[in-house]
Amino acid sequence: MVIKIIKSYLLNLNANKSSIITGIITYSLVALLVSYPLATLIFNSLGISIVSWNPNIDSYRTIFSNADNWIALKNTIYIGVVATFLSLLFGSSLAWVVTRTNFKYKKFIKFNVFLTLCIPSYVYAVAWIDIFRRNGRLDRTLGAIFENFDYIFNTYSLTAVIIVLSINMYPVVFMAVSNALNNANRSLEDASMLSGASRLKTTFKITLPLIAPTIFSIGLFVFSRIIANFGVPAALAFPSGVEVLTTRVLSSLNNLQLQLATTLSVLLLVLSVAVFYWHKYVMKNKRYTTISSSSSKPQLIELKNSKVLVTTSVISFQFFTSILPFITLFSTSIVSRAHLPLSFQNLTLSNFLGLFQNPIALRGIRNSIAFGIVGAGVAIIIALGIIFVSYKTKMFGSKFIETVSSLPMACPSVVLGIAAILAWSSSTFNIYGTPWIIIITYVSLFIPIALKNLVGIIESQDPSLDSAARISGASKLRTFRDITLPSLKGGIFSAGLMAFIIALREIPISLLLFSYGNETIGVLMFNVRSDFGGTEFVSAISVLVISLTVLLRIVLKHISKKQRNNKNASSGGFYANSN
Amino acid sequence: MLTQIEIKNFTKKYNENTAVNSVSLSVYKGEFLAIVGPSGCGKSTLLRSIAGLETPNEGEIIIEDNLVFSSSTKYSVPPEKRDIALVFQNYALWPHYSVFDNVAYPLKIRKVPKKEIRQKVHQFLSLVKLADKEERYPHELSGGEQQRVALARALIMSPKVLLLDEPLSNLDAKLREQMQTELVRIQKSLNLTVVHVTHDQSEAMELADRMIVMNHGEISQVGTPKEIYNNPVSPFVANFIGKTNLIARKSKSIKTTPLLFDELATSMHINANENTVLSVRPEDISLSLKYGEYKGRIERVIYHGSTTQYLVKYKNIELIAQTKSDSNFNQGSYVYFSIERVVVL
Repeated sequence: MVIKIIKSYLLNLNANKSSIITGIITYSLVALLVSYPLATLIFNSLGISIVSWNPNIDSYRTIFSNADNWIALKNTIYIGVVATFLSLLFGSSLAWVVTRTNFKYKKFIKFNVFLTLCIPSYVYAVAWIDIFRRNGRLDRTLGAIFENFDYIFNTYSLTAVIIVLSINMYPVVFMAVSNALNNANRSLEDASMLSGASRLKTTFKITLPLIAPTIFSIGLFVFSRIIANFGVPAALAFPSGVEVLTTRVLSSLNNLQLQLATTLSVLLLVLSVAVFYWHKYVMKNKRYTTISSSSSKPQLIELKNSKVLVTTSVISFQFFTSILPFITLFSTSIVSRAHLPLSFQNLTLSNFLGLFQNPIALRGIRNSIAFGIVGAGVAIIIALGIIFVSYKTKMFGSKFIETVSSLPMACPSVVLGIAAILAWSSSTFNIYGTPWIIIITYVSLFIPIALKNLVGIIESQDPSLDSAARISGASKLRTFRDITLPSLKGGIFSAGLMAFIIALREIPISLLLFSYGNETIGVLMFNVRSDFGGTEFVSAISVLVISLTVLLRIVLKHISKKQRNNKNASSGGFYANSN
Repeated sequence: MLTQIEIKNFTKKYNENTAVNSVSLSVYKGEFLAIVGPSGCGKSTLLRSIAGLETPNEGEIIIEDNLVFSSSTKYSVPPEKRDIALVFQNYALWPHYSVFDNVAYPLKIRKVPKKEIRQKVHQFLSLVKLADKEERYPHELSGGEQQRVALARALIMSPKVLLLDEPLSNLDAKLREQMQTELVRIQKSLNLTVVHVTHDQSEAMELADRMIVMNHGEISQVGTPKEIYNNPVSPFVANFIGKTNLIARKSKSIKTTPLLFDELATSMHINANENTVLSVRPEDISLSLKYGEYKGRIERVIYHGSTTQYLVKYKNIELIAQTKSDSNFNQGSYVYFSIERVVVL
């Protein structure tokens, strides 16, 4: 009876029972795992919760009357703007060199971009500290050269955060801009040169305006990621007493000011979501869609006089930003104490062996893998449900559910963590202290990644394949199982890998939600360094995470190559570069 | 004749655009019906709604005496329960299934025993002459072969009606002709009811027992190909089905009435009013060097192989005339011509 009523009011005419049940389950899961925690967060900041009804905006008044919060907000935006500008500069310049000039070592550039993409931002911060701290590598090196050397470099500052984050984010810009440059209609540039403009003039007058919308939208995306980052400011700014919004959320939580943490989270949420959707809006409305399939091979600009300059600056830039940090981490991971010089008697594998002998370390690695796999699996199943209701049955409200479930992609992980604390440690649902609170939050974080991957494939699919199955006698659900699911195999696998990569590097969620026994790699990295100062230990974990990430990303590349005819399938790739 | 499909007052709107406007029609058992019209005339919408892939805004659809759709009672049988087969324009073969699995799918859904499936798939693949290709995958087949797999997949479910959505339009001319012959052979041998949608009027005329000409979401004319060709009811039908010379008293392109109009009206005793349009098929104009009712000048010669068309200028109008290719009139020369048949519209 109930089903009949729903059928007649909410659905188009030819839906059946199993479709409706699938829809109801999907809607409930999205409501429970995504809407409920975020709604709880927002309502709590307004004084409304399951146990108390006291609507007010006092906490907003409080945070805006405190100068420290204003400074944190200002710092967040400052870091965001400057680091976004720098990563746009690095990424676009390198993309231009690769796609438009006859630069000799393009493979070198691409290799380093790939390596940078595989190094988590927090690991960069660790490497930074290893190099620049007092008695760090730089200090020791300079001290060995100059006698009575007085090290005055400031290890911890906003500038450090900006440098590390812009290095960490430039690969995303590189990929997007290279793509845009490759797809830009070459005949427009050819026409400019035939009209008498020089190559360089063409670059500034034609090429740059053509890809400007891409640069703008990717800039917004990078900005939203940077202001959401927690690990880097926590490692590089917090020790000198400088705070940004994300670190302030955590520190106010540590001071047991949950209300302050909640309200700051909402502030951060609104900022990130606004910027993220602005980015999506710009992406959707790009004025110049100039994809030409049959464009001729590009005429490359010869570097001539500037060859030496370009080569040295590109190679030294990438040497210092990806190779050196990696070498630093690697060499630290194989010496017995971090400050010892790299010599034969100091070489050891004990740091790596320690990872597998130390029960906490072993547990962290095991937990991250387990949470990642379970979280990714559940997220993919829910994403499939969303795709079914939204693209195959066009059920009432399905587009809304799709939008809601993609919200966590725009959310800083710190915010998801705080929302989870509020939602899942209440008297109604109490799973705080169990692994499930982390897994559930991972699920909400991974659903949009899976969706992004799969929707691209679904949209490029021929709808008559489904119709043919329906005509042959298959129900909607059966059609989804027999026809749609097999075509999503590759997408499901790459979505799973992307989610897993994030689980390996993610810090704030597990840091906020872990309890004894449920530590993750992120918790280990963050806590080991502050607790024991075990830089060599952290370096070993970092090298492990980087190697795993490189391996997984190679597999990912391989899959997306296999699905080359499916351009959209892999375009979600850079979204996986989470904080 | 038994009615296989009955459509009553069918209306389909996309937002504010009416794709099909209050159309009623019947499909008889065992006939080959072609629905023909220019693209956007609503013919595909009609076809997809019969299959249940689209939901009309208004109307009723009855298949073999069973109501499958009614807008007034909000009743709709989903496509999988209608027992109707559809061959898509792009064939819609499932890329992850082999030829065998593609064809077997409708039976698998109906839980037919494996042994029977195997036997029936063989039978229908033989019918479309693809018995040796059952292990192949769709991408390993040529366009024509894919098309025949799609046909076998449609036929194997013994559908009440076979719907064809321009399935021949992606084939090259030679292959298309072969497939047309095959289609008619299979249709007659299985005594199938077929509804074929196409924008290609010559294909429709060659295949169909009966034709429905559609334009702007409405039915312009229903009849056998011969009836429609010889007695079109409107200038649109006359012009769309075959080639014709339309001679109107008033038209947008010509400001002055062609002198030929009045001359024809007088000689053929036609009661012409303001809106009368005369249709003269090119083959109904005979050309001669020596005698004829009218005298015109050959403006252009268009050689077609078996026939030749001439653009003849007569006073203030140009006419297309068609003759066998053994005729030989030169461009620029004057010829006599007679008009043997005029259809008054």
